[in-house]
Amino acid sequence: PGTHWREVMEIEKLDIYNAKSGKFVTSLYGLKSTSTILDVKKSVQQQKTVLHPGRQEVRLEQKGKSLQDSDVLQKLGIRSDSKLYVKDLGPQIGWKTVFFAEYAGPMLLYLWIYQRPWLFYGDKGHSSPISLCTHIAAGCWTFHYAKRLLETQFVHRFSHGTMPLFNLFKNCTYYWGFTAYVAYHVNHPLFTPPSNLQLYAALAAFLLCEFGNFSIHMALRNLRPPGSKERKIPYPDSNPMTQLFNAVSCPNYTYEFGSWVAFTVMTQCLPAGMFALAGFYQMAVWALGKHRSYKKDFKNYPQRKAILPFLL
Amino acid sequence: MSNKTKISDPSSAGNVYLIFYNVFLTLGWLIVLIQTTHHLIYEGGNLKGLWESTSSVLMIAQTLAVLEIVHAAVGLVPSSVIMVVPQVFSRLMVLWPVLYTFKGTHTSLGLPLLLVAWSVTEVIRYSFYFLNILKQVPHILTFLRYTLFIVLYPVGVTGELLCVYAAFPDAARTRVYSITFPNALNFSFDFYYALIIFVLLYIPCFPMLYMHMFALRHKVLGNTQKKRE
Repeated sequence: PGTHWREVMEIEKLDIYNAKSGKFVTSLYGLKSTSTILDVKKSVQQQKTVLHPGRQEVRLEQKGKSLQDSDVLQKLGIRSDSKLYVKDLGPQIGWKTVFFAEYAGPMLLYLWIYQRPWLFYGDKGHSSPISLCTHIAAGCWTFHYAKRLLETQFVHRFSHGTMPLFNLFKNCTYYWGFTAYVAYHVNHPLFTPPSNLQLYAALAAFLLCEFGNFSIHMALRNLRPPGSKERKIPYPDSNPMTQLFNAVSCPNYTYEFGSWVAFTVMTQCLPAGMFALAGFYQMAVWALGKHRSYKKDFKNYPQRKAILPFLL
Repeated sequence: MSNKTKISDPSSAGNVYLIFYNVFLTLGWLIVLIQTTHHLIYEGGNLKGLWESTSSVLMIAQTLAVLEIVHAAVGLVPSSVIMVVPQVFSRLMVLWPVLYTFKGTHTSLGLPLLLVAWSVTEVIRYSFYFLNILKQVPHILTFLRYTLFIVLYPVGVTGELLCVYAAFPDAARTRVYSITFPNALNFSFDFYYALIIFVLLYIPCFPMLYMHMFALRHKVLGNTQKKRE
């Protein structure tokens, strides 16, 4: 009472508790009512240097939801002797590092195996010429991952700045492992390509699906202007490839699966098929989750499937 | 809802089946244990003939364990499929593609280690399950189940790895169970490399499972201590 919003008040003491154990950790001094949650995180870091702000999640209640870095203490009703909970999210890694490892890694690994190095093929590596199919497959693989890198840099908007370190290890094992597995077979000296008809038809399907996936990414980017938190139902836009929104909630995953099926047919390679199935399983899990959350948030959500039109 | 009554009611059809299953397997593994001990004592530690004495019952008892995947999948038992599959798979991998296929493994030191570890563990485990359905598990059995593993688990793993290692030269030479290039699906499978990867998987998996057992031990035995007080 009697405090004008422009008046800056000292917050003499702020008590910090551990969100996991509920126990008292430390007190912060010298913050102001105009300080932000980020200032709180920096102050915590001064006392525990390993906890850089990206590694902290600050909450009003022990099991409450995360507060934003930009939230102002006064607006949150925090004053002197208030309590805040901090959770340690574990070692973090910046998203740019993550995507470089997850996307550039497979791209470079595949291109290396494409050279038929001695480590994988021994002396027989150069015993036969590289087929046209193998060249095209290398081109498609590179194109797919280069596209992903560019989209990460220019198209996608991320809600989190970092991710837990363990996820990076797990994801890289998956991406690099499968890359080596598929690349070893497609680039093998005894690889048998399918007919040219099959090769070119599958290549056309691959490129179409890549373009479809890109179209969906652009449509999703345009759905929410930067900084807005508004959630909206995605609908088709002027790009005909986005018509798939009428059939599924996550057409980007549908197109991605389509690309890998096309790649499998193009190379007639069982390991590539296994990669397509593994990817499909993970994307289906994500799509079903996203679909469920759309239906929960929007009472008028249109009749759609999650990832496969009419089926799933 | 009916699932819950199935698990807790000993006379339900599912539990009667499980009683038969667990009793049958307890007896099977008891036979393997007796055959193993008998051979080791009377042959003075000579491994020749050990596989021949024990393999028939061993193959039946261990292979039947695939049913436990089904039990977990249909909810007959509270175990999760994700935990049961790797355990059953690793046992069958050692038993069939390694022990059954390669005679060279029959004189490995790993064989008696494996037979003792597996049979003691399984006799205790299956009798525990059987008595658990009847809610008649004596404390000593619970104690053994959650304590003997501390020794038996590493002994068993050592036995398994020694047997697989004994199979390496023959696997590399004969290239059995392998698919080579060229073929219509551009697929290849090298059993020798698969064995190597199988062995390497023990490095992350063994500590994880071992620690998991210790955590279970703390949970189960820690509680019963409190109950007695």
